[in-house]
Amino acid sequence: MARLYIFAIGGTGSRVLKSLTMLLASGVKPNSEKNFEIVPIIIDPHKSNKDLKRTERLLGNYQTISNEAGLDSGFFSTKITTLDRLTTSQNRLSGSFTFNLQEVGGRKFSEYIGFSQLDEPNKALADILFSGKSINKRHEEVNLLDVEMDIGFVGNPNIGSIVLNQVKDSQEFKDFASNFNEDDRVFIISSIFGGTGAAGFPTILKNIRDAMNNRNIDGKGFLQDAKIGAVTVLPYFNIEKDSDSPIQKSDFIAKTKAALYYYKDNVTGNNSINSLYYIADNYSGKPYKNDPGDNGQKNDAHFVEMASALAIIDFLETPDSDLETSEGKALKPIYKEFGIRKDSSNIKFSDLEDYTERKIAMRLSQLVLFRKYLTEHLSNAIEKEAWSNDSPEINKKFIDDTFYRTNLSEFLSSFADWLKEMSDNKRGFSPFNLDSTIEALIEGRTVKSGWFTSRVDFPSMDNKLSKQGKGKTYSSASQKLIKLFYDTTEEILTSKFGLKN
Amino acid sequence: MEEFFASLYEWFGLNPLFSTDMGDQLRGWDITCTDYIGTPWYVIIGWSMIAVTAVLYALQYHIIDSSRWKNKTHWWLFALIIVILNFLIAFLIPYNSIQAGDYCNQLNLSVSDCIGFGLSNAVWSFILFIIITTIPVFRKLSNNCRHTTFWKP
Amino acid sequence: MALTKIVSTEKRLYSQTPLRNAVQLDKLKKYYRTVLIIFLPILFLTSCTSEFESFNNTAFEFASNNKRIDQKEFETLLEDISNSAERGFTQFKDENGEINNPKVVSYLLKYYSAKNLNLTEVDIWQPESLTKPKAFNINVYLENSASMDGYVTGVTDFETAIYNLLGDFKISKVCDSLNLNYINNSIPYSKKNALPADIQDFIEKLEPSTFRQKGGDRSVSDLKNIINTVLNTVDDQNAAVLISDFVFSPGKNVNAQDYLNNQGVGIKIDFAEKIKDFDLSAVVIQLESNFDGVYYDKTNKSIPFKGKRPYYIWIFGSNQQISSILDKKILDNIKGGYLNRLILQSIKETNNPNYKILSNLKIGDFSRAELNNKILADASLSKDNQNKGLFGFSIAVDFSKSSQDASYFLDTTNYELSNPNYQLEVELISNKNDASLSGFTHLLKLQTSDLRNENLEIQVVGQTPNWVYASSSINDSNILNEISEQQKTFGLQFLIEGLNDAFYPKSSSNAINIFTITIKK
Repeated sequence: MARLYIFAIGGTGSRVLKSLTMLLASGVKPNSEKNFEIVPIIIDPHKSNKDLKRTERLLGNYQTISNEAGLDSGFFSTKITTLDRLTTSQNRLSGSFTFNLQEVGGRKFSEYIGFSQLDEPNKALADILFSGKSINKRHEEVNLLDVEMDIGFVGNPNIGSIVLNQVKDSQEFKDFASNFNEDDRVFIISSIFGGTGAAGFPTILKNIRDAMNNRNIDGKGFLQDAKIGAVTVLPYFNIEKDSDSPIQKSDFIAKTKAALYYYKDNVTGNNSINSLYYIADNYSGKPYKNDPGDNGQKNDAHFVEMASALAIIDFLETPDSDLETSEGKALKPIYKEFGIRKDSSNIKFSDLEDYTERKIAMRLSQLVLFRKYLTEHLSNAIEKEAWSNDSPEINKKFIDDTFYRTNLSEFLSSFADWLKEMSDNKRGFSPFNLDSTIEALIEGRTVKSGWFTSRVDFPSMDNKLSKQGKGKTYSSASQKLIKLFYDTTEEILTSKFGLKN
Repeated sequence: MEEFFASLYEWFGLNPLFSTDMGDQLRGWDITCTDYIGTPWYVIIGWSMIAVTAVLYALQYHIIDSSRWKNKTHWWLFALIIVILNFLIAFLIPYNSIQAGDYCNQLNLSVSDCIGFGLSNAVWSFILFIIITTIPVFRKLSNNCRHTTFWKP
Repeated sequence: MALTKIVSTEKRLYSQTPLRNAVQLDKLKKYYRTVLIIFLPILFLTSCTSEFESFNNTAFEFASNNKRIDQKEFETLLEDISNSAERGFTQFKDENGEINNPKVVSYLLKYYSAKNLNLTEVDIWQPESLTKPKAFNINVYLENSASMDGYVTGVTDFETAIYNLLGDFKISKVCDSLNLNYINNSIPYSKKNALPADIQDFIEKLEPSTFRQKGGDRSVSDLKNIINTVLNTVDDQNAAVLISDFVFSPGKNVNAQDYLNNQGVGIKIDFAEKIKDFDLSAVVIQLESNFDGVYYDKTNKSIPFKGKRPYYIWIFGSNQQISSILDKKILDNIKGGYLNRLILQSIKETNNPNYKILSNLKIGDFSRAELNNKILADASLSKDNQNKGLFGFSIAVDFSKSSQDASYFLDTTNYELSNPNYQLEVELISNKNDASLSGFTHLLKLQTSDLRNENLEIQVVGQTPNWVYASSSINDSNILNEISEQQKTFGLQFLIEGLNDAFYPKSSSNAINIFTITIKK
């Protein structure tokens, strides 16, 4: 199976990766003959980043559920793996998705570059390059050189680029390179205005394209000509004005421009990238709390992140012939933007363009319906309805088991939170009425009714579940739960709500 | 066919519920007391018992076939309807014959015979309903009621 | 480039609508299934009537229309019967499968009676029998020996009865020509083709003087001779009626016993000869008349006597001729009635009357299943206190078409049973309202304690009935003083026995009717 290695850099990277996970969980799949296995590699020195933690846990649950469900159960049908499963390397936080940036924790930048050991001319150079002031995690003003790096690079890509260069010498990169096959692809998620992201994207891109010159790697020569896509997220949110914080909104634009200049020469200008996706939003809505990172940079989910995840789907749909690369250069690089049909502050499905709607409306609705049933009705139905009594049985014992009680419930709860966050955010994404009846679930869509059609409610769902499950075999109760509900929700949404895939 | 139903209703020879005269009448002892050439009631009522039970079974398990009508209590409800219907059919038909005098006058028939036959039909229909809903062949085709049974062989 | 890509993927996605269609088709199938499940059983049940039932219904309709079954209706019913091979219709057909009309009629009558529709036989049209009976003459022979004078002195019952009989013969058109004769040793007088006026004249002239005048040897009655003469006149076209007192006169110097024996044997031989080539039937009627004249006893002693004396009318003919006469009920209508009757038929065929085993009136138990095939299945002895250890059943028989008198069948000595352990009782069926017994005349009740698997044969045999012995005398000398002698006829027994032995020789079984009942335990 071909693999997609996703480098998710910084806070934005984690959040986009989370959105991607939600989409994959709901069954969104690229329209392609090839099936891709996703290998996420999160690069973020900010280990207490709450987003990072949430994303890691989410990915862990996804993996467990996906292993039970298999590849044909609709929901959770795309495999997500950790890098270590592909190799047998020792030097790792094993089983983790996170790239362990060495010697970052608790250290000042000056120590990292060995400032004190530099000779005078070099010290002077360093001073110039890394001039200016910053604020450390204790809200004290410090020189840039003395900033402690475990909260990221706080909006200083110049520091970030130095540190992240160690990637190419790391064991992870070595593993990645030695496992990289001709069919595999790479995708890099980063934000252009932040610290980690802006620095990391070109660095990693360069490390990959330069692979042939890297003595650390004994890989096969595929890496140099890998098909690489990336999404670069331009400013899309507002942060509160806080003069004590090293991060200011006004700096975003300036930094964006600076980064774009750099990309012009080193990313787009030299054809390093096969397919580059830009996304931005000039919505000046509700601002985020200005938190550089110490209290755990926890940003609410945003629609733009989900749209960025769609870029990955689009990248996977791009045929190989459009991504040809030779000697490290993309032959026909592609550049794309994202648009919606209607500029509304609370996006519903009808506000999206057709293709976007077709891609996600059905699947997300399915997962929402699935969750609704599980939280509101499952306990009433088990051991009573025909579908739950069929073998393999879904009974109280199953409900008390880890799979349901921990993995699935946590995941779906995160899913609900994710939707709620996007709904409350500005610009918001609220296509669902999560607390309403089933018939009013999707905003802007009504259930078709008539003389012979019945209501859509939980008993009728039970009918459909039992009918759908009649005569079918499932490998386990967990797999049955996933697949049966996938099929049934698909049928309900198609016939009653008129959604199309 | 005649003998099959006759032995069923007469409980394979035991026949505790109604008289042998009633048994002859139901076999079709004709009005001129000649031979079994009259209406073969056993066969007719036998088939109607099977038909009524089958139709009501199909009604619950395949036509209505709803999650709201699949509990054990609903099974008992349908069983009750089946039993009552079949009792009435088997009671009323000979009762009408008796009232109209439409039978060989050498036979001694009474209302208690009609009741006994009604009971016999009702019991058999109940047994048939149990059998139909127990064997997996039919009920596994139902969407919601395939586990509505007492025993899953 | 991006746009075209989008279009092609859209096309791919649109093709994923079979799901929608599948859902609709499923709903449609469900509706059809519902309809079918409800419709089929009803259809099945309503088409469940048998052909026999619809035959019954048709017959009932025809009858309730106008209380008659006319020719068209009857023929429709016949067609229904012949078109069906159902079990119910087998009772209407003979062994060779042809429809037996009387059986159809008798079933219909029973059925209507059970349904409280009162039709009688005349209400149902029946086809005329195809064979018209052959025309025949009746030759009447009146014995005019001296002993007959007492019957014709003045106006007697004898004369009235004979007049009536002859008149009925003529009126009923049962015969072509009626020929009247006197007879003793010869036939001294004949009147051929008598017209009603001739009959009247014949009767009016019945006086001793006319007897004397017509002549012949009036002194002796050689009965054997007379009978033989008359017998010889009987053929396909001629039946004979012989009227006499049938008193033997052995004479003075003859041993009466030997004489009677010889006469008897002679008569037997004569009849036996006739029976060999001819299907002879004979009817003997005993009547009574007032008598005023001379009685000649066995030694030919004359005894004047005035009172009631028996006399006899014998009728000979073919089976068919006798049946015609009996059918017209001429004998039953004789003025003054008759005392007794005896009918003898040469056994060329035993036609069995209709009979059926009754399902009630039983002692012990047996199954009804095969009663129609005359089989008592699952027979068992009675267990109740009254009849413990006994087994019994009843048979209803229709003797109405038999030539014998109804009373003949009431005499159990006229029956022979293959299993002597059975007791038989016979009675007339008097209840006309019982539908199950309609069409039958007698009830035979059988009972035994010896129940076994067998084919029980019940034979009605032809034999000399009791009244013959009761009316027979072997010594008539004291007739004046013995009242019982006055009602007897000397030597009658030998006469009739001779006749009987010819018709029913002791060497063979003389069954007039045979009923076979199979008994299975």
